[in-house]
Amino acid sequence: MIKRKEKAMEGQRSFFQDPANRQWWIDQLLSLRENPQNFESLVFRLYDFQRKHCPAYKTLTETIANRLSSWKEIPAIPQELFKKETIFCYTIEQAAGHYLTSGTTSGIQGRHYFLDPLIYKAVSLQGANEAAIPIHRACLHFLTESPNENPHSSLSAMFSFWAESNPFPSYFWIQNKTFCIDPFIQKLNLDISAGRNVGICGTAFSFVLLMEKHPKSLSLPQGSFILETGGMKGKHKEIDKKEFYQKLSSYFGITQDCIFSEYGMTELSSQAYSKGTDGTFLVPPWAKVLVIDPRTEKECQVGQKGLVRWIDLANVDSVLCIQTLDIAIKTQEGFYLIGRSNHAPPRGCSLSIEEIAFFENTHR
Amino acid sequence: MQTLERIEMLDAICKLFPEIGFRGKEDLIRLVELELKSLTALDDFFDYGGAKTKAIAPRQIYHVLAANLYVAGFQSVLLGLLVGSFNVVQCPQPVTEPLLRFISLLPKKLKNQVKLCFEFNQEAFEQSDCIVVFGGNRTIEHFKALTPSDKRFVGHGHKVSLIWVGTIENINREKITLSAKDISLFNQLGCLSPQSMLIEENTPSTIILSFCEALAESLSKRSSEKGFDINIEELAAIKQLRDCAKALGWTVWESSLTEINPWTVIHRRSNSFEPTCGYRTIYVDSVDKTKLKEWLKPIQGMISTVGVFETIPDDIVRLFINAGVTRFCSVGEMQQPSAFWHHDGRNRIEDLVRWVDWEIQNQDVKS
Repeated sequence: MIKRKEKAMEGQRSFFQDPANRQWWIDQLLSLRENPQNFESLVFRLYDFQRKHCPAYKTLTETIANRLSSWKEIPAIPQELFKKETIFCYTIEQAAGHYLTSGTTSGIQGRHYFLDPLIYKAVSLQGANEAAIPIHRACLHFLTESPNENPHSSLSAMFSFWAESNPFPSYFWIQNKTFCIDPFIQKLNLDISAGRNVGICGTAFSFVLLMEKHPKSLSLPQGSFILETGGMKGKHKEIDKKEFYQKLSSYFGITQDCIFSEYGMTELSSQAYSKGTDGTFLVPPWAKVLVIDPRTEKECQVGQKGLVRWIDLANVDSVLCIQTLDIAIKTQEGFYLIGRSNHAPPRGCSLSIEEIAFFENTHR
Repeated sequence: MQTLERIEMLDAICKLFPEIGFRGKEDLIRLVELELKSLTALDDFFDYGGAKTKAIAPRQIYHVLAANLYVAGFQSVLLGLLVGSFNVVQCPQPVTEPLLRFISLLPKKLKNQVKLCFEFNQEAFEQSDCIVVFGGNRTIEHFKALTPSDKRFVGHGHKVSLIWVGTIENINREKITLSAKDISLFNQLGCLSPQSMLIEENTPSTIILSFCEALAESLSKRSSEKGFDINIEELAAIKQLRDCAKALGWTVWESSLTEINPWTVIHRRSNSFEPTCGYRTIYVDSVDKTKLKEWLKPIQGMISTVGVFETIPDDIVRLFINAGVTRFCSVGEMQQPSAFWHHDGRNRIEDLVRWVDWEIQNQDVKS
């Protein structure tokens, strides 16, 4: 009996290892726009697999005895757990690679392992298309390192997938840990004078740095776009989003509805996007975001503030349901992101984990 | 104004705000005598080691207060007034209201010696000859870097406190109740708030479970007392800590997060210290006594108080002292240090003053 169960589990594990089945899974995800009714069955299929094969998720789900009646009840692992434990359904030796979290606040980095990057690639491309970001109609300038320089950055990886599929030239402008502003501006000016559409993608902080170091404004051709991501957590200069978008708009000579915001994280495979300063974030059909009231664990009503919880069907090799500390307001169609969690000011004079890390970094 | 006159004026304030930790003028007199060796040390030269000496207070102290615990602000300003300095207080918004109330109740002569500012005041900072900063280690480092070496700098960074339980033979409910009090006060946000209760690893698991259950019960009994408002970010931090603990296979006792004062007890076997998120969330850590030094490594030099549950062996006391602990006390007393305690291991008013020595035998000196 036990042997049969073990065999069944092994069969389940090998299902998601088989390249043909992984491609089938991708096809299922990409067809959810047309077949949204399949979402729940795919969630339960993946959940059933992960709760048996990811040890930390298994331990967590064993503490929750309730029978699940809806995909909304799938237990979430805290995002922080990626820093404390291996969240992976296989042995580390089986991983093709991993992405590292930034460790912005605590200095401790989490790892997101994957069997292969193909699912991430597929959903990164289709996710941008779903959000109508014109990544295939512009020269792309990435204000980040390339994957060659930073192989463990999930953001660089995503941008490189965009670059590979783009018929126009693409460039990464952070080289040897330096933002090469002058060559970037020169190349950008060439594109502008040739009337070529450009897409400039980078962290919010990289745009702030650009506008500070090169204050002369630009005038991007119509059809160009800006994509900012990551907020400014941990940086000493933070500005309000509205003010930031006004600055971007006047600096690049584009309207604010040509500015996209990406909300994603290393621990996930999918992304949410918004457009313009007041835009609601929307997720692709293979992912859902629940805004959760931490007091009750229930979903907030429209207009209520809560914590962002992701259900990401593209997170095949780790865990599909992740609880973040990010705060959002639930809207009719999606959610309005208020802030990344680590903006919460520390209270009192008790020591925090961030301070221990800071002390270790600066004194030892 | 002479020291005794200032002490007389501060007497009423000590009684109005007992949380500052001084019962009245007697405690202030004793503090000056203990730290400055003479009640008139700030007023006149006095005999000292075959010569004479006098304590000189800073003309102006610039206090940078932390964003929450207003008591530290009260104490800092009171000590500044006690030594006779003018006090500029950089006061973050959350502590403004209690601080304004505190200042409004000062006698007029002392009230004139305090000025509040709500953001960094460069001019006042430069004019001050002593800088006192409360806050996170980044804040301390920041202000330390701004302070020229000829000025006195006193930094009180964030610290952590622990309870030493040791081996448990019987469940001492009285001590558990006192521990719950230490954990609950100030919503566990202060540097005197315990973050972990240390139990020797060889304690049988059935006893540990009973201990944790009794602790959970004690915390539960205190959950209806007046608490702080817990915002969504803080609730999220509690939830995250609980979920991580469950996923890591640790045993968790918890109340609903809908309660006014939610509490959490987590038992774990860990290799090193890790702080909780506060808000009545306590780790009960089973630690191998022989590996305690390693366990304390992440917080070496950052430990304030060790609360002693029943008794503590001498070798463990030495180990804690070597790890930088500055205070031992019984459980139930962790949040109420003696009026004469050494904050962060230092004299509190002596830290503010400088000494002037008079070694000329054939000429007397008048201040």
